[in-house]
Amino acid sequence: MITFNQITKQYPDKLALNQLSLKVQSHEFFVLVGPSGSGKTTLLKMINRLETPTSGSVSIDDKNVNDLNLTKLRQNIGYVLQSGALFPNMTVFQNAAIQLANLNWEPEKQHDRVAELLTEVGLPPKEFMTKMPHELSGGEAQRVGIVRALAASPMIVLMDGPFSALDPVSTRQLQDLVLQLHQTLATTFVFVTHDMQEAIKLADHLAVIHNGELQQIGTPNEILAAPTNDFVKNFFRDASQQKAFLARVIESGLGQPKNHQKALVLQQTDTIMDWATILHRNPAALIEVANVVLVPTDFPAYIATMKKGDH
Amino acid sequence: MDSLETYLQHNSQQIIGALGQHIVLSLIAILITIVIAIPLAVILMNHQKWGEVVLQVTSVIQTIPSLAVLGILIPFVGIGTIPAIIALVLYAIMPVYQNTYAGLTSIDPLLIQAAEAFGMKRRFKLFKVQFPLAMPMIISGIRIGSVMVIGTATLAALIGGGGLGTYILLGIQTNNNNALIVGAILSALLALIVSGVIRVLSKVSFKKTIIGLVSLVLIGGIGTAAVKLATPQRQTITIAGKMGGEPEILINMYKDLIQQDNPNIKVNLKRNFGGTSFLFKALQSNKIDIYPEFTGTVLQSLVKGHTKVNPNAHSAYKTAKKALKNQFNMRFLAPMKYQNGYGIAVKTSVAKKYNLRNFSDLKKHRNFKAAFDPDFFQQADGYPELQKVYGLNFNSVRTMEPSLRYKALARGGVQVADAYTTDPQIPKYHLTLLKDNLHFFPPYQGAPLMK
Repeated sequence: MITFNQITKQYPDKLALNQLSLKVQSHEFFVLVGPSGSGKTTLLKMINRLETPTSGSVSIDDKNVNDLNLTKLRQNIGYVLQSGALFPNMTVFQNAAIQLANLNWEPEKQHDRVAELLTEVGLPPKEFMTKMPHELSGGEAQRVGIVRALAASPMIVLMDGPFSALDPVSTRQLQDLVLQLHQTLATTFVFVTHDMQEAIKLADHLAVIHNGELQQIGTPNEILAAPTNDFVKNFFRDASQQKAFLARVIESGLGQPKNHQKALVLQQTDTIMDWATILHRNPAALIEVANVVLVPTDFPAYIATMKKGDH
Repeated sequence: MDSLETYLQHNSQQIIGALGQHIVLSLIAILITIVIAIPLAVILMNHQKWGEVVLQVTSVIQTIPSLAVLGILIPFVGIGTIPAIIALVLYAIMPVYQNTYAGLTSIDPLLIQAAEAFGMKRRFKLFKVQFPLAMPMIISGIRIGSVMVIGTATLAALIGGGGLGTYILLGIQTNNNNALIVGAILSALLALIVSGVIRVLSKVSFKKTIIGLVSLVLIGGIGTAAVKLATPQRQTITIAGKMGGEPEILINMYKDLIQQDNPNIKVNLKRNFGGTSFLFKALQSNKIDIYPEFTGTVLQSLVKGHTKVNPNAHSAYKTAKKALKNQFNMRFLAPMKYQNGYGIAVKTSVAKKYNLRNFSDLKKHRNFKAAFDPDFFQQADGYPELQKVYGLNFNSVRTMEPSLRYKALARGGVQVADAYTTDPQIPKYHLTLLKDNLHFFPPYQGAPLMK
């Protein structure tokens, strides 16, 4: 568990973080999302002490990071940077194995570990081991960046906007890849992005940060369904998934107040897909969301409003 | 004049020796530079303020003319190889330091952050990331520095450091184009070759370069040591001479005489070793054992308290000998018969036309253009004093290298110049020496000087 306790970061010209507290559970995929300049990257870098808070503390499993040996701390944390940041003077293998070399692993062990991970991220080791970074595409370079971060089996992997410079196809593939890697590994992922679509897709929990302050923390559905303020609401307005939430259906004015009908109770964070599944099984089913009852005909009526774009 | 080919044939041994000296001098200088400049840049790369300060300082050193650096160093470290190397190092530090510093500080900060984020130890980061990434810049700095060192090392000859500059200097002083060409072309070629070799080395990996450098130094060191050990220890006498043909003839005669007397003594000749003060200091510091000096020079420049020089050659020699013994504990051996003094030369045709015989005859010819050796022109007891004694006042006076003023006389660019009375150019260019009818110049009788 990573705990941020009352974190403030004051730069000479700017207050980057203001009294921010949040917790990241072990093994979860946690996303810090917010516009650029919000302070999310500063917060991320406090975990491996690339940044230090002006006041407040960061702890990993209840141990203050300042009390840990810096080198050991960093050797237990994987780091994926924007644009890969591979060392241009080293081969793919040397790049991927850099932390292993630093930890004095035997050469064959380094080789086996890197080959295993390269295979896992979809880069055939025979072909890629000896390539130089300038021979790789952006997506390939970032896959190597991920291998480099995972090589030493760290407890925590930090990802600082890793896909922001990639084309949409590569981005989607790599998002799927990190999700799959997260499922197979018992590793905590902390991921920074300014792209709310990406945040919603990847996160177990996400924290929305704006102007150095925590706006809201929760699962993607919780936040989409019930944004705590206008900033969060506007930030996620364009997310197409948002319209699929039952909260939005109620907001659109459909449905009747609850009046003793027998209805299936659903949450505001459930989606119209869940509703469709119910209707598919029982075309006459009524559902109840936040004390409002929706009848089957409300379903096509809501879908019809989506066509116009805004509700 | 000999053709370049015969010149090369006759002097190949000495030329190769000078080339070797030049290479050793440059190599030592550049190695010392690397050992100083690169660690300095590494230490200062994270201290921007100090890094910039050192950058400024090295740039300032660079702007001091190398000749001046050599001059400044003489009182502190004397003459010979050491001050030459110090001057070269001071010179080469700027490009090597600047490039190393720039190379190390211009690495993409994202990469440095990545290196830190992976918990790299300082040394691991330095050798695996920072040095390799800065290497192209560092190598080009070393290349620039080496080329500069090889070029500037030609000035080492001025202070007895040897090398190819000896030939350039000799060429200028004795008007020998062959020597000049040999010195200039060899040093230029050497610079080009070294630049090319470093370029090739930069393609090889860092480790191999270091191994190569270290083994080169080891081989060089072992080689020199072996040669030194192999040559049997004998009594050695080092005889040096000033620039020009005459001292060279003299020191060769000394050598023949010594070896005739005792063939087991090894005699080292250092021809074209430098100017008066270099040679005298070299003698004082035991770098050389004997050199030919002139009575007039001894009395006017070396010993104190003899501004008025007796025009009689014999008594001048006696005064000089005594003063050297008393002031420096040196021995001035019996002088040679001839004198090589200052004189004033005009073209023979001009002398005939205006009926010039004595210095005094020049008084009437204010419109003559005159050229003098820079030393002679400036020394208080040189031209200014001559002007007073003879009442001379030329409208146009300029300073010129000794070898050039004869040519200028012959071509008619100037009508009057100072001359050394034994110079071969006097008959060669059909010049006439005027008579020093008021005995302004002291007698210049050559004699071997030793401790």
